[in-house]
Formats: sequence, structure tokens, C-alpha cells
Amino acid sequence: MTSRLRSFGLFILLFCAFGVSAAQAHNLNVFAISTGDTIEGYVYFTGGTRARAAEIELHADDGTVVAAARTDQKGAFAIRVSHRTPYVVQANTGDGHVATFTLTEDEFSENLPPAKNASDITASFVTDNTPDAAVAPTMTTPSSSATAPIGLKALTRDELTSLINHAVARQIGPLREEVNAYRNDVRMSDIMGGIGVIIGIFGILAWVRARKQTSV
Amino acid sequence: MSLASRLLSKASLSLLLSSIVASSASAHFQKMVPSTNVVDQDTGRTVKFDLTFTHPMTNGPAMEMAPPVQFGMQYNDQKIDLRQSLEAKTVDGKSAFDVEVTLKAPGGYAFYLEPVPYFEPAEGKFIIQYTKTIVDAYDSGEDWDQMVGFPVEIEPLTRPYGIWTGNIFSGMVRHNGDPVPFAEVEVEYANDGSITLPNATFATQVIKADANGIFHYAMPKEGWWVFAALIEDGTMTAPDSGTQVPVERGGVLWVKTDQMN
Repeated sequence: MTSRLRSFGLFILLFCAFGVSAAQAHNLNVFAISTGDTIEGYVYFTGGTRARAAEIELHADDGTVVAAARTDQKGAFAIRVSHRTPYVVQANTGDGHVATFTLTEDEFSENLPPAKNASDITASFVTDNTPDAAVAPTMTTPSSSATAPIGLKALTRDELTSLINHAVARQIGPLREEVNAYRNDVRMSDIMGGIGVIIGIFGILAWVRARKQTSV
Repeated sequence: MSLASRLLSKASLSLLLSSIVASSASAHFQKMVPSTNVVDQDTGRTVKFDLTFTHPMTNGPAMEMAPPVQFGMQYNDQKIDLRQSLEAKTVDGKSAFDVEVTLKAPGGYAFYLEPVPYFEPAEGKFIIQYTKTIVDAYDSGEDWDQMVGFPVEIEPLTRPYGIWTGNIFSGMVRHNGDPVPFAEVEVEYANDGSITLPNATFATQVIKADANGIFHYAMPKEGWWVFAALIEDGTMTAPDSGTQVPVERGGVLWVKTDQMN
């Protein structure tokens, strides 16, 4: 019994030690951002050093590996994807350091079809992109240079309208959710406030009556 | 007059008195508190700042805050002006600001604010609090000791985020770049009203730097702490009398501690 307890304790201790080591100095990180149909990012250690030739795996929503390769000399990578779906980028330096970064579906271009099956997804590492451009650690909005330039004149009025609608909807979606949440909040606080006022009025009435009774 | 109402008026009088005492004992601080000082995949990329000129330890009252002379973000040695993003709000009937900023890449971000000089008639001087705080994005661990070039500025010697409650914070007071021996540093806690002060002296902790301009302070509670190195430097024309009055320049730094559990 005691030995079992002891081994359980040891297990807990080991577990804790592992948990801590994953967050210690030289912690591995991966950062990724979508530029529409391309996931760009880099692998780095806490303190800024880039991880060269780190293994990169792109996982679909269900955990399927849809692409795998290594980072370049600057720790950077770029992956072009065929479908719009949540992705997880996993970086592994092979010495027990694993890091992940999750990208949500709404970060990808509306022009990409949504993925019904993970097996439909094709993803390829973009090698012709210069690593410097791929990293883009600036505060400016990353340009979607990966997508081919579209001739504006070639678009019909309807096509242009639908494109604009899509773009606006995508940008406004989260905002609308926020406004809705805020509205619900306000309603709740209105109700609470109303109840408070009622209680307050009755309280004052009760106090006045009690005062009359005592002063008589 | 009934006993109850007499008691009530007495209580309100003492409340009024204590609030006056408390507000005069607490120092003015330019508040610059972000919704998070560490951005990661859990927090999301957007950080919201509360910019209020107030008395943090007594949770107010706030003072009028004009649109700042400078407000921005320093990242990779580049300054980005964010004054256009400021949203005016009201705190205790005084103007203050909110601002939302999106951090798009890993790195150390220094947020800095230079307010319009505030004339304090009671002390007969102008107050300028050059305020900054550091936000880390995606565990970059970079540039946490970056300086933004204020005339009075605290250089952190302790990484100013990811700090446990009870840790010691160390910093160096610099005036125009040079360390200031025996500089006075005031420390306050952003009290949400949950902390009751034993007496007025607890509102502001006062420490002095050593001969090298280095100070230390152990923070006994989780939450936001503010350090202000105060140096009188130069004069300005007082709006009421037209005479020259001293200018107190404060190098202000906000840091956050978290409970270890």
C-alpha cells in the first residue's frame, strides 16, 4: 500500500517536473499568422533566438497531419493551404521541445472552400517566398501578395459587390458578436437595477412608517 | 431629531472627513493599466488600456486628464503613435481615456504616455508623469528593459512582467540618461477598494534609491503596482499667479504581480 502510494507520489513528482521543464528558459515557441491562403510564421526560443531546421507539422482540425517540413535558416516557414478550416501548427526541435499555435477558421480567405474532410486538404510549403518577407514582424497589415492580383476591370458589378460583402462580413462578424454580448449584458443590468429600485422604494416606505410609529 | 438620523449624519460626516484625509495623503498617478501584460494564444491579440489620472491606492478620486502629448508603442526600436486610437471616457466626472491595441507578432512592447503638464495649486507646482508599461507577446522575452527616452525614466532591473506576489522589484532611476543617486521613489497599489488602509501613511510607500540610483521594493499583494521616480526639474508659468513654479517630472512604471498558487 505504502509502496503504491510512494510510486504514485513519484509519478506526480515526475509529472510536475515535466510540466515545469516545458515552461523553463529556452522555452520553444511557434508563431503563425494567416495572409489569406498562406500560413506564415517562425519558430523561436524565449529571448528571441530562432530555431533553425525545426520540424513543422500542419494539423487539420481533427489532428490529421496535412503537411510536414522543416524551418529555414531563420526559423521561418510558409505553408499554402487549400481549404478554410482551423489549423494547428506544431513545431518540434526533437529534444523534447514541442510548441503549437492555433489559427481559427475566420483568419483565412473567404475565397477558400470550407473543408468537409481533412483528407480534402492539400497544403504545400512555400519555398520560393523569401524568408524575410515571410516573417513580416511589422505592425502593418500583412499584404496578401500570395494571392494573384485580380484585374478589377474584369470583375462584373455583381462579383465586386459579393467580394465586398464577403470582406465586410468577415471583418464585422466578431464586432457584431461583441455588440450582441454587450446588449445582453445591458438587459441583465437593467433588470437588476429595476429590482433594486423597487426594493429601495419599499425600504424607504417601511422606514418612514417605522419612524412614524416610534415618534408617536 | 431621532437617534437614527443623528447617527446617520455623524457617520456621513466621518466618512466625508476620512475621504478628504485619504485623498490628500495619496499621490497623483497617471494610470496606464492594460487588460493583460502578457499576450498569448489564450488572451488573444487585443489589449485594452485604462488611462486615468487618479489616486490608485484610494481608488480615486480621478483628476482631469487632457489628451496626452504623446501616447504610443515602442516595438523593435520603432515608435508607433497611437493617439488616434484614444477613446475618451469619464471617470468620477473627469475625462480619461481607453485605448485598444492589437499586437500582431511576438516581441516586447513598451507603451508610453506623456501627459499635458498638470498644475497642482495645493503644492504650487506642475506635475508631468512620463508613464510606461511593458507588454510581452507570445513569450518572446525580448526588450523588457527597453528605454523610451523620457527625461525621467525607470530602467527595470527586474523583468517587468511574469512577477510573483512578494517578489522584489528593482530598478534604476535615470534623469536625462544618467543614474540619480538617492532619488525618491513613490510606490502605490491599484486598489479596487478591497484593501483598507490602517492609516494614511500606507497610501503611498516612499523609498530612496542607493548611491547608484538603484531601488528595490517587495510587492506584498497580487495586482498592479506603480513606481514613480520624482525629480524637480525646471520651471513653468503658473496659470493662477503668472509666477514661475517648479516642475515635478515623474518617471512612472506600472508592473503586475500574480499570486503563486
